[in-house]
Amino acid sequence: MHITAEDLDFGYPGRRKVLDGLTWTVEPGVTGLLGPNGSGKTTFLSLVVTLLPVRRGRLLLGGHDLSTAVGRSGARRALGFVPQRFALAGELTVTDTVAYAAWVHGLARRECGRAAERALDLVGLGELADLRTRTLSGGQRQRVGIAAALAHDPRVLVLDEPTAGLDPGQRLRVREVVARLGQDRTVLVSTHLIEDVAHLCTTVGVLAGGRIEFHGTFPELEALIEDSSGGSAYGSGFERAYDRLIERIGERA
Amino acid sequence: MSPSAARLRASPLFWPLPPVLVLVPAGLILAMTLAGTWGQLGWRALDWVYLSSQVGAQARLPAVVAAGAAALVAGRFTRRSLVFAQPWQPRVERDVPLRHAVVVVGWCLGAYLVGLLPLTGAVATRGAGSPDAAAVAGALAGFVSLTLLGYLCGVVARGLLAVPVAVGTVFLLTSLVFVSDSWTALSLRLPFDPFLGMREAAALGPYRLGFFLLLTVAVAWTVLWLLRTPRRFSAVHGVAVAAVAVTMVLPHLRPFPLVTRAPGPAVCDERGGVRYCVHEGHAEELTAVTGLAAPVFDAYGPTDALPREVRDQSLSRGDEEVLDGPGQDVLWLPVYPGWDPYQQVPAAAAEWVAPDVDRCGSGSVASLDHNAEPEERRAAVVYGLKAWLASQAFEGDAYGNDLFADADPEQVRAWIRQDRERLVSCEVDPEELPWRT
Repeated sequence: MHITAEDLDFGYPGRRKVLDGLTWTVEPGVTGLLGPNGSGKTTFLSLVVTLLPVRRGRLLLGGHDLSTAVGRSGARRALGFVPQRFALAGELTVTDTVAYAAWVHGLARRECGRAAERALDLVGLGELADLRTRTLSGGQRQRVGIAAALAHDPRVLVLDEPTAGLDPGQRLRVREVVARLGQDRTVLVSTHLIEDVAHLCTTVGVLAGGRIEFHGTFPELEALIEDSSGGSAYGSGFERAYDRLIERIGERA
Repeated sequence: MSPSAARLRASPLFWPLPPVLVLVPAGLILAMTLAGTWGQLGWRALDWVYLSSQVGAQARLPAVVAAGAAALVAGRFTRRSLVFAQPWQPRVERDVPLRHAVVVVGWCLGAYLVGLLPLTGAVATRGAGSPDAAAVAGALAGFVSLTLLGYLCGVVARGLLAVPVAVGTVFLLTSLVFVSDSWTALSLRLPFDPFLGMREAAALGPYRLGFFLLLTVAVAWTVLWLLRTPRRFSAVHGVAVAAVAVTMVLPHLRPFPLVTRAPGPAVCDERGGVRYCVHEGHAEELTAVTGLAAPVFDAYGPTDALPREVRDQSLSRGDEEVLDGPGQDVLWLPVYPGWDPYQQVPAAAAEWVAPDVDRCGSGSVASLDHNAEPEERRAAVVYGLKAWLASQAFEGDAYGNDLFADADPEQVRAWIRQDRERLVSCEVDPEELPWRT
């Protein structure tokens, strides 16, 4: 299932446009959404997950037009979203949490238990199914969030900073999970971590000035960064070069 | 989690809530209702009118608990930060609050109704009259709408703070009936307990039912509106909220009559020239009424002081008729659920025949002390006579009555005949009593 934006505009009352004629297609696989702070990444994700209304331009999720109530309703059932910050009800077990999420996403009650088991296996949390969520580590909580977004088997998964705040080991586990999920669905990941992009994304979009200013594969972005830094692709020099490139794209826009 | 616990958790009876969140309040409600009604199971003169009003009266605190439970559920499970309460998730706007409400209301209302079963059984076995469907329906609708009001508090506050807010709000709303009668049409109960021979006023029950149904609709729509993303103003929602406001104001502008009289057929007996009548539904009480009043009248003596008739208040057509009882030579006796004829009938009969203690001019103070004012000592004679007369219902046990302890019933009757005029005007001193000289 594709995410297609055509000439998409969005602005908050009393402020300049955040998205300005954005046109972009996100294809199946894992796509990274990059951009400097304030570039509109969160606004774009909010439009995709129907938290904000589409007023000008078009935004399609598969065949669902998100500017219509019917389209939003249909899209919501095809969508899984893990916000950057989310809470879990500490008194519920891991299974209960994911089963509840499956039901909230539209599954019938009888299917929710099995759906939760499947989702927890996918994120590697099957063994922790009976633990109360208040006992989980940060990485485990993040994977519960992903399982909750996956339980209804959505065709499109949107992740906002999925590895933020995790230690390197936990980050690795989450990346493995996301990479696996991208094999048979459309995964859009908003992140500011170049390592996430390097390890996860088959395609990358850089959002700046309300538009997608770069769209390509990670090696293409990598080449651009290496040209800009004149050095190796990895290490702290690379990170700085990446930051400069993103800023430059932003300034150019 | 054990398989049985998992099955319980996934049961449609609880889904999607943890069972403990509804079992604890339901258990509390059941215990409160049983505690509130258990003492009534052995009551005399139970009737359906009383039971119908009890459906609302007993609901007061259970509704507070139910509202608190609903607020807890909403506060815990509709917080926007929760991974399963995100505003774009398809079931968050409508199915989630609906399911929460069904589970919480179902368990709390169910527990309340189960708690009322023993009393209902007692009334069904030996109670008179017929249920007041409008009063029962209004009370149950009120229970549901107040529970939903608690849920609304939870959706607004989205945290544990919602629980004390909901509990306080609902407690306040259910207490307003005790502040002013004009709140009765908006409350679960009447400010008093009606009994056989009364009915809630015809307009009151339907108005209360309508108000609570309207409140339910307005609260439900407000909850859905708060959970909707993006929120849109709905004219229908606005009309519902305005209608609730209007229905809350109307009873204050023009208060409803609370009850009307519905006297039923009488069952009567006659003894010693006095006719005794009770409501047909109180037929079992007639023997007690006659057996406890007649000895008091016999002990007094002069028949011209006796009432023409002793009547059950369930037979009256209104308060005026009861107040005018002495003028009509009718002693009106309140026979109501939980009444104690052994206390009330002899006391009422003695009160009727004995002089009015106000005549003594002692300000109702009575004393046998030799240093007391003469009026107080004379008042003690009147009080003593009343107590002695009442004791004659129980074969003359005058225990604790110093003045009449040694009195022979014939001697008292003779004294009353002889000194009646002075006794009525409270002029008899304790020293004048024949058996004390």
